[in-house]
Amino acid sequence: MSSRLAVVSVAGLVLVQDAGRPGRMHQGIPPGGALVPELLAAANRALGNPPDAAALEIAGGCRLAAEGEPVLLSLDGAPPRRLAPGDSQEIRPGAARVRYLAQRGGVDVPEVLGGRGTLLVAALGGLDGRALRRGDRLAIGDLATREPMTEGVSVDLAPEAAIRVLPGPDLERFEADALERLLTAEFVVSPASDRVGTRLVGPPLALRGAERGGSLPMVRGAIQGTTGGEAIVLGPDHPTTGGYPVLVTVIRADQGRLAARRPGARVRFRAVSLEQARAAAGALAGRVVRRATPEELPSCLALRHEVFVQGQGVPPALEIDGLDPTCSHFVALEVGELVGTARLRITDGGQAKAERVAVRATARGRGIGAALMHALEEEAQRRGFSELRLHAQASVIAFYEGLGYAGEGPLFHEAGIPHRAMRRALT
Amino acid sequence: MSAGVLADPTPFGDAAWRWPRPPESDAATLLAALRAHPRVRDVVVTEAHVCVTFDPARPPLGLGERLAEAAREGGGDRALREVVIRVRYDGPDLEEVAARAGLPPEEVVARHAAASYRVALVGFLPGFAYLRGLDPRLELPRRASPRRRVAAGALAIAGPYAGVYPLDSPGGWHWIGSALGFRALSPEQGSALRLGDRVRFERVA
Repeated sequence: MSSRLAVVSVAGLVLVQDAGRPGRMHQGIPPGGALVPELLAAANRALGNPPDAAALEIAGGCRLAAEGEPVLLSLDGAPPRRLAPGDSQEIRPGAARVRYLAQRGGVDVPEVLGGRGTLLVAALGGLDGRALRRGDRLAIGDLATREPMTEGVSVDLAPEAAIRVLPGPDLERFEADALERLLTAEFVVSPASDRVGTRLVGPPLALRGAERGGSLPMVRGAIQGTTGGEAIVLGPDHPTTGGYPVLVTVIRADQGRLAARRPGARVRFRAVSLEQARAAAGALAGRVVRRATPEELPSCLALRHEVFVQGQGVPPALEIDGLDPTCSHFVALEVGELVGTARLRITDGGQAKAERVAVRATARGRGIGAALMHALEEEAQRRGFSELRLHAQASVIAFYEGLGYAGEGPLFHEAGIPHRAMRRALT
Repeated sequence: MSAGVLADPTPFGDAAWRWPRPPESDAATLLAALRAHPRVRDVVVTEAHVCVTFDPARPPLGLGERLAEAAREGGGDRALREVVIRVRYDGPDLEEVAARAGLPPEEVVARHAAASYRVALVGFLPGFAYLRGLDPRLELPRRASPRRRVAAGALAIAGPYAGVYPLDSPGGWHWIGSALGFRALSPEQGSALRLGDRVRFERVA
């Protein structure tokens, strides 16, 4: 007999949730996914599951028992706990509005329209399209790909921090001072919040003209003002279109943090730039960009060898140019794995220069190069430089232009590869 | 649409972009072109906008060009699906619609069933298609007070649209009939009606 989880009792709303249903919004199907994706990912990682494996999203509490064989469970990323057949575990409300109980192997429910999560409005997905009840039994999948972690994974949901937003896209539909009012006001999470939206009680967000428009596309994180004075921050099960213009949109990195706040919790907003939002999204994905430690330098050189010598045929003697001891080295890590490196060198002429920007081939196109450049720029600025220079390979000139670098002079050859000098002012 | 010129998208948070819909563009063509991009997660095309969502750590490149090209293509050569929905005109709001339109109920039914419709938008609920093509005499504002429950399969009209409710739900449209043997949303196929589909209603006595 394979192992199963039996629901002994439920006090609240317990749903099977996963990463949602990508690619169905044009059918009016909400994107779905966990209310707090960070906690779902932490619970899965602790168990060696893929981060988006289906697990239980628990608002309130419940008691679960193991049947058949022992099961390995993690609550919100806590160190995995073995539950023997016949034993049960009680889950009580935690600090966040919902908790995630994952089991090694994942919850095995059928995939419906590209996801295993429960979409209550359409009564589909999860266990028969509904919330769990006493007596339900959940089969356990075989999705685990790694060994469980003994120490678990901790998540900081920054319960006091301002929620970061990007202004728009419908700023012009609101009164001129609406954004300022939103950013200086304090809101309180309403108990009427659910997976469709987090409702916030606070000052009304006055619409200019106030009339409903046609149907507008909607996304998770969009903040709608209602005529009733509540603001609704759209959640994972939001309607794909709506009639209310959107004043600001919560950035991806803070959507889970907001959804985690309990009724009665206070919420303030802070506006950020698109670049800051993207950096925060990278950090959420487990990406860290920082100065390399001396112990990490050999790994950086190995990655450079992989990218420049093996990948591009640069002679090893040119790649290792003897200047490394004079440089500041940076690393980009994803969930602890080295995926990129770069160095900042101060030239004999006293200029700050970005060099040896290398991203592992399998990790390209995810903004890692941009994050490394951002780190170099910050370091150069911190050291008093007003400009950062580099020699860009011809194939990546457009990449640097996108980061604000301007080319100067003709193409020239370095290590047999056409390059162009580029620079950007640091402001 | 002048060749290749398209405004920059407006960021919609850090995980989506929104463009004004290019004039004269074909919604289904835009949808297909944008969905084909490997880094695009979702696409929503409404009558006035195009919206694309993605992983903010991996934004898709070159979407503006793709959109401009799809807008130039139009939809002229695309094979259209036609969906025929059998309907019994037995909705609780039929009499009121007739009174407000100044037409006998029989005439409301005749005009509704005679028209040819096109899916202009899918949204509001999973599988809810906004159908353009309603006889202008039947255009009415939404109900002053929404019904607390409109049944799945209800045929309803509001403003310039007709639609079939995919699920039991609250609703502000005028409920004029019932679709027979038609599931607007199914777990196997998702939405039965897709952007650009042609739709006819066949009256069943």
